[in-house]
Amino acid sequence: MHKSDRELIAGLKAGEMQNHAFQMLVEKYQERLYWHIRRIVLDHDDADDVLQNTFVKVWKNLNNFREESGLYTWLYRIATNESLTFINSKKRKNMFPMSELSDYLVDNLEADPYFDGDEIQEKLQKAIITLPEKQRLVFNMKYFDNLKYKEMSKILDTSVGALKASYHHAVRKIEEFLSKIED
Amino acid sequence: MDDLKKIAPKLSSVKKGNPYRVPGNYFEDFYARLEPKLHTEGADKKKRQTTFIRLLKPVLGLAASITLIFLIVYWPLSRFDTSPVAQNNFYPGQNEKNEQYSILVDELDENSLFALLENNLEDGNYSDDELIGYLSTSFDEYELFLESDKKMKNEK
Repeated sequence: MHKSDRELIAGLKAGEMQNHAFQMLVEKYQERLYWHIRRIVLDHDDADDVLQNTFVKVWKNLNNFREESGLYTWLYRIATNESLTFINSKKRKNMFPMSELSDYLVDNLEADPYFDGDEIQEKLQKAIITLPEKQRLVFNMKYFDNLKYKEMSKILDTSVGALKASYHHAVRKIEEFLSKIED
Repeated sequence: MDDLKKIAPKLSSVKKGNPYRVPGNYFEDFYARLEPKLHTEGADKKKRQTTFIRLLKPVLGLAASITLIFLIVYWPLSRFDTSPVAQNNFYPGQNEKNEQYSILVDELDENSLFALLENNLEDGNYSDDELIGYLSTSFDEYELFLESDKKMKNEK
């Protein structure tokens, strides 16, 4: 049984309970954050690294957490930033142009022993990889995580209108990609 | 959802399930793998703070010593004013007057200045009162008596 966010926050603020409260927080949110990260970086080992970094960052910045932003929103934002930082560092390290980065992600997907999707699901993942970074984020958050635009707006610091437009463009591009492959 | 079917029929036909999976017991063991990292991070944080304080200590010590020396030596000395009274207690308008005077003199050409001085010297008409005043402040009675006696003898 997971504790409510309010109970968790109270525990995180009480010095002697902090370790225990943090363990509760990790156990409550690890899965949701993992899948969010995994959809960005695709590879399981990379996702594992990024998830650990995310929680280390959360642990280090507990004092900076402002309750008005909502615990889940705050965690989601850190996970998103860590994932993008990871992708960008990979891009810098290997000096990938944008197109080669998507090739690298496709290779990761095809070699991933932890991908169990059928053919059409693989195609969908490949279509998502071809999207620009922001559209990819918005599509994953809306389509798979069923997040509301308002929540996404807080996490990505973008207006609801811009998010709706990004999602619409992403859907159009994915549909086009899937149609082309079938032809 | 209906909207999605209309604008993207191919996408809406894809099964929406999660195609990815994780190794067995991944989530169950996650915290156990994360915990050492958290402790390392906590220790690093403390270590960084200690190192910073260690670096700061000599600088703080030096600053404290300089302040102490200042308080012990310089400050008491500054309390005793050894400068001559006249240097510090001049008439405030004095310098101003001198400056005005020097500006006036600077602006005069040499001929005008000499002419002015000559006029002052030639103008030797003093009243009796002015003479008596001058004599009474500059000479005592004995000197006056000797001078007048000398003059009388010479006239004889």
